[in-house]
Amino acid sequence: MSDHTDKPSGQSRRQFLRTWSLAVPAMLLALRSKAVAIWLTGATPGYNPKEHRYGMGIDVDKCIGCGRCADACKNENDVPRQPFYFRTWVERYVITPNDTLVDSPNGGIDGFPPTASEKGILRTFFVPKLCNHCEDPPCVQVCPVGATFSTEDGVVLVDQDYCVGCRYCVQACPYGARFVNPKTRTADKCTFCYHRLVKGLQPACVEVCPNGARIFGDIRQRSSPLARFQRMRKLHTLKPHLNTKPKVYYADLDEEVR
Amino acid sequence: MPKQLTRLIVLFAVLTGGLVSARHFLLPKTFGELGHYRAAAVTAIEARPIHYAGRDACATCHADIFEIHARNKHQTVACEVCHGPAQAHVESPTDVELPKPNKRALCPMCHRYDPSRPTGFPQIDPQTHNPVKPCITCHNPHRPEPPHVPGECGACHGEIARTKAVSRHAGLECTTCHVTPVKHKITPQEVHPEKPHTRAFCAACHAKDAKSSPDIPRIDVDTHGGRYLCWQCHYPHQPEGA
Amino acid sequence: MEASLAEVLRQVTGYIYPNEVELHWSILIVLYPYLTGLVAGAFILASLVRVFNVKEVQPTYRLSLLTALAFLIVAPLPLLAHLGHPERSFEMFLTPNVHSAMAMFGFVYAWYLTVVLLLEIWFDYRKDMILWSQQESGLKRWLHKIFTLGVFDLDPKSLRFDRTAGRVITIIGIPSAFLLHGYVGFIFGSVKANPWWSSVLMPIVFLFSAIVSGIALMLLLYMFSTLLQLQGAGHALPGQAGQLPVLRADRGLLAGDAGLHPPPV
Repeated sequence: MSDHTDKPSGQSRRQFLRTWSLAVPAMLLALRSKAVAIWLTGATPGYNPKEHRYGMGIDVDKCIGCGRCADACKNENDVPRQPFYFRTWVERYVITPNDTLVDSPNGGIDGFPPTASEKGILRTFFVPKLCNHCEDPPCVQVCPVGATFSTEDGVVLVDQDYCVGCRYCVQACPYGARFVNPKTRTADKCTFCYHRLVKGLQPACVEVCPNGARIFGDIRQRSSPLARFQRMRKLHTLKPHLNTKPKVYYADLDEEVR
Repeated sequence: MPKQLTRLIVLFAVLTGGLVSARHFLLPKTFGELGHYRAAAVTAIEARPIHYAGRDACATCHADIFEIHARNKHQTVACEVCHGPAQAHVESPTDVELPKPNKRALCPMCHRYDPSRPTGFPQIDPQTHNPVKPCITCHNPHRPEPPHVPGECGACHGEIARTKAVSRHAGLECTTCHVTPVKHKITPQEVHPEKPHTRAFCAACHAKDAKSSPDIPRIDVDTHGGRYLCWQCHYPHQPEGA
Repeated sequence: MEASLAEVLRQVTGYIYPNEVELHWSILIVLYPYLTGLVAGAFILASLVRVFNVKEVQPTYRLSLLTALAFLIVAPLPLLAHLGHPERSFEMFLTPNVHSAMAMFGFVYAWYLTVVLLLEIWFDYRKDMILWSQQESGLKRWLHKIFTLGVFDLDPKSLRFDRTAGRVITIIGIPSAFLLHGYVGFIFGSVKANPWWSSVLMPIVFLFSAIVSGIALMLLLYMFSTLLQLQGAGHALPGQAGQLPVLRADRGLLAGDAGLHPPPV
């Protein structure tokens, strides 16, 4: 756990002993008391990250492309309003026999212009996209400094005060979920509204979705809307061949969706 | 050992020692506690301000509206979708007032007809559906059921009606094929119209010996189309397309 | 910045993810592999002399090493300029993520700079530095005194040790140079999100391009340095006398050329 013990200098041995003499009784107590576990993480009182593992379900056939989710996300998380920075966005697919047209004007925040012509359309639908909070995140793997990480409750976060802004994680994300915030000049992305989760609230996008296309929940709990979603629907994830093990599950996902 | 080598080794040792001790001072305090990251980052993220209060927050003070809203068609629509982020209002209700949108601009964001929207989701054409008037003139946003039960099926099923209107089945009423309970017009998601199940249904007009208008095309019901149901090839709302 | 992004957005045809309209790694990141490639290539040329005893390129030996050093020192500058927070760049050495190719490359780079390049140049120039610290005056005298690390041995045994050490370092240096620029290729090749990069061949592509471009650079630099010295010594320039600078195996092209083209060992 402590990583300044490799050099046997006097200073670090003292540090080592100090840390472990506190940590061992703390860990013993933690086996009996959740409160101590919370103290160890310094997290919000009453919230134990070990009890949760978050994921999201998307019901593609329920999405009406209103863009309220993308708008709410920018409001909640102070994301710059220009059309180049999205923590979540909505794509529209129009599939014709010869072609598949995809667009996402301003991420869908202002709604979509009317679909050109109904003639010849085989299938058309909206797909909300966001960070998939993968179990095996390629972004966490490539961060050179440890500024992006996976929490114990399965949320991938970015440390804004430690990120160097090298953009390696942005390149490594196969889903285009990351961007560099022009104000902080660090990497930024969907956090599942972690600051809301620890207070028992839902992410802003889930909160405002008017048709229930976004289902948020705890993978570990047997009785959560997400668990039912996983039982009752046939689910897909995006780009499964990359083995990132995403935790955003799409029901009725079309093959054309990339 | 040549003198230059000893000097080099000493130089390297001094530099390495210097770097290691520099690391000891520069390393952030909470790094490594939970993983290869600063545990303080999690706390910092948790402390970010909240702007959306969540639907339960509104119920505390606006219980009457909340009750109506929760029992009607907009129950899945959070208060903050239309009224905007409410956390500031929850914290100081008298100082911060939330907007009550009453222009036509808001409702068509969800309800404007778009073929990409799921079938069955209530959609209208804003240019022909009571233009000029604000939507709330007829629809109470917390109880948005339309003031009159729609007369035509096409009021909600516009695309189907438009397709059928220029097809060979234009003269057919929707109810000819779809037995529709009256309740469907009031609670459309709960009570659905029926759809025909068998080839015999279409054969009632299209069989060679059917008692129907001579203009109707006739087929040999036993052999035409093999084992498939009629609508697997013929789209009933535009049957000439097959 | 926003205006230029809006312009880019107008030029997008087809669909890309909204976050990818902004090109994240552009010219500054292109510069870096190019410069390290030149370094690796220049070093390979120098190693031809030391390890493979190719006498024909002997006059380029020191120029190659110094070129490699100069470019290697300068190479991180475009990287720093590109970072969102260059003042935090030391974090890569403080808390490197061992799964990250970029973090581990920092150490490969440091290894190459110190152990391979600096040490080899130091061993090769040690005799000259001692001589210069005795002959010159002022700042140069003190600088060279510091560089010698206080060792002024010029006896044949020490010099023989220098040559052996240089040889050993070059032998270690060849795989190190391969590791250096192959690793840069790996930084790109390991990104499975980008199908244009994601390939086992990337390190090999980078390495071979590096060797080619490094040797091309040395050709160019050698021509220029020779031209300058011909001018400086008042000799006839090529073209004027219908001659081109010729690589002579028996001695450096010119005498008294600041030790850049030493006589063969």
